[in-house]
Amino acid sequence: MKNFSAKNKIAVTALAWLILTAAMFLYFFPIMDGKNQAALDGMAQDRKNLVLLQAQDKSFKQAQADLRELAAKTSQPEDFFSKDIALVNEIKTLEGLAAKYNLKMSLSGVSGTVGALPPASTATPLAEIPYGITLNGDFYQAVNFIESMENLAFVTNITGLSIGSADKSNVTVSLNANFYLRK
Amino acid sequence: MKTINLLPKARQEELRFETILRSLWAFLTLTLASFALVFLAQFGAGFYLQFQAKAVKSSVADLQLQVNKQQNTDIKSQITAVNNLISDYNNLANNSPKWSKVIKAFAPLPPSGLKINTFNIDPVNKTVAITGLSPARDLVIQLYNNILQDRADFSNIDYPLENVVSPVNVNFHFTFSIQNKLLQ
Repeated sequence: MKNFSAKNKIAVTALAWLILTAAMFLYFFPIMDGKNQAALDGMAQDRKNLVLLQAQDKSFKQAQADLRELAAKTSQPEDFFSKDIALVNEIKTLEGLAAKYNLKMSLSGVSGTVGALPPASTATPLAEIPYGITLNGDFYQAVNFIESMENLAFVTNITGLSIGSADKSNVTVSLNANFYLRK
Repeated sequence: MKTINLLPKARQEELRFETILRSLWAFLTLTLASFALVFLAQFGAGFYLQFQAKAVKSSVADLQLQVNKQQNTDIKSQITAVNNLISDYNNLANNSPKWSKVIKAFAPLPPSGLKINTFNIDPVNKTVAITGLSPARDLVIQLYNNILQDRADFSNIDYPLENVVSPVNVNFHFTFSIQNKLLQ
């Protein structure tokens, strides 16, 4: 060991320290760091999914509560549009309006079955039933009828309108409109 | 008191190197210890992260199961159906022009004595076509001016020349547009 002097030992030890430090900083630490970073990234993604799912779950619970609340209401969304067997109520409403405003009313054009009628351009499957109304009577009462018709609980869109008159107390109003029925 | 080192020069140098070597060993030991500590800390952090990731994954799987339940699919379709019904109702109700407003806006415009025989609304072009009978030409011109001046409700009234040919008993007709805001 005479040749392996203290000076040489210093050199060997310093070299060993350098190799060890290089191995740790260039190999072992980056490997561990990479693994931990990958785990962190994966967890961040999972947490993001978790938050989304929690929001979805909350939304479902809210929806459930809303549906329960809606079911307790007297008016249901299904009532917004009648079924074919209930169209008679809408016709009666129009007849009632004509009677209220002292107008002579005749309804035309309602025919066919819901299945055979053209669909309305709506998200819900609805059938569009075109019809015509002819009113005879006072001009101002006819205007009241039209105004009331525009604000009924059920939707009936006026698609055409013409007024002919002999005098103000005797006008003829021809209306084209649509009923909407659930298919 | 002065200390005199009587050892030979080579031995003195050897001793100095041994002192340095001891310090270096100490430094190496400290380095090794600190590396071990950092390595352990990284390992511990990795273990902790894996544990946490497992917990989060398990929560995600549980919630996924909950969210994908058939009951939730039913709720989703019920909500969609209700929303569709409401939006269809609103769209159809709001897209229906208020024709009564047009008639009410027009009613005060004909001058007294003039008779409107027909009043036709074209809902597609949003125009009104009227025909009538006037005892005098001036009343027809007055009606034209009244409609022209009611810019808030009507616009683009035409001026058929045949309306002013005869001085009395004039069969007239006009076509004009309805302002959009009148129909809302």
